[in-house]
Amino acid sequence: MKPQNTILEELNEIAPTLIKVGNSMPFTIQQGYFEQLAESILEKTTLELIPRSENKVFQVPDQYFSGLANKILQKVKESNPDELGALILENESIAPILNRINKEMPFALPDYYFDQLAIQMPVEKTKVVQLKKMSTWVTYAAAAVFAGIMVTGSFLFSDKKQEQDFEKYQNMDVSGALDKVSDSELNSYIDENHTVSLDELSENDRANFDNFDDKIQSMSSENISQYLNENGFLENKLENAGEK
Amino acid sequence: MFPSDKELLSQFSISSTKEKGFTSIIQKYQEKLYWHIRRMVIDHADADDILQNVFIKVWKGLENFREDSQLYTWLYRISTNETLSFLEKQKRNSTLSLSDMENSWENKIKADEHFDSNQLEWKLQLAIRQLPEKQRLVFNLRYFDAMPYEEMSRILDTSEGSLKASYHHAAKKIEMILTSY
Repeated sequence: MKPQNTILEELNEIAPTLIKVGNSMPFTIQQGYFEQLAESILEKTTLELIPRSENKVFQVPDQYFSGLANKILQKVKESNPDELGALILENESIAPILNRINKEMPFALPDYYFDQLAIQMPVEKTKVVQLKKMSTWVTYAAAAVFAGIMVTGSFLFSDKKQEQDFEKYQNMDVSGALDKVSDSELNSYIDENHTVSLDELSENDRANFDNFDDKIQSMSSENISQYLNENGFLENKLENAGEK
Repeated sequence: MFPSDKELLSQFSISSTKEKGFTSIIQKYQEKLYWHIRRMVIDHADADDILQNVFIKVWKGLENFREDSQLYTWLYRISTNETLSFLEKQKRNSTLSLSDMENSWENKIKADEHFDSNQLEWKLQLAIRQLPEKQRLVFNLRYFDAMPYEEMSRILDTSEGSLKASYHHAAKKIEMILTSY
């Protein structure tokens, strides 16, 4: 800025009458205008930001936010001159036409594909725990133990035992043994252990029992021989008992 | 803005925030990976299938992910492998001759509803199809994703020098094709 004296000298040369007018402002302003100016401007700015119609509050274009982050990222990436700049220079030296092509993908894409992309996770199957394979000798040992149990069981619970018991009882002198027991003891045993006598059978049962011989006689000899064949074991035992 | 990879991996490692972390990883990388795949397979349905497989593999493998390599690099590596496997399988199952297959790729591009033969972007896509597969891959990563050779080298297990040579060959060939249209 030129010093005030220089300006006055210059003005005196080109328009001397202006020096007489002076440079004070004839306009008046309200008191404290400049002190409040900044505050009033800020207030107006804030008011401008407030929407006048409630219908327009917070309206944004469709799908604005869903793509916003990616758009920003893209801009950040594009504004990063490091690799992109190097690529542009590289292309310029080998194939400058590549720098003039829009890199936006021209392919069609279903609407909102990225917004709705959902990964179909496979359903995890329950883990099957593989049992440890037994060694051969353990398998054979288990089979041997099982076979042993089967043999012992069949021996213990087979008819052989019944045969042995039957023989044992056949050889017992029951009459002799009973003679040694007093009548009072026998009576008290019968009282304590309720046994069924013919008297206690119902009339119907008794009738059936009485007709037993008739029923056997009415049976065919084929049926009787079939019954005896099927129960040959008992027949033999009865025969043996009879011989004794 | 998405959280940093470190933050996402940390979310994934905690069972209560595992799904949230995984969803954020998908949202962060879905577009980059999708376009990386689609540029190679062209068809949207194929790209979608591959992308799904990629993220399923990511879910299964993320627990064992070694944080000494970048998540971004690892994701690109899986996507690249899945894409190349898909293309290989397609070649094996195809009864078409090599030249017929090339025509079928060109037809796929031309079948796109936005295809415009006068548009330079589409001419570029047709030119890229004429590159050998490996060169096409390198060109796409460098040209569209501005990927540094060093990172590309980790994804493709190829030396930086070889990748640079590959890109240069590809770029020159494409320029030649584009100027001849």
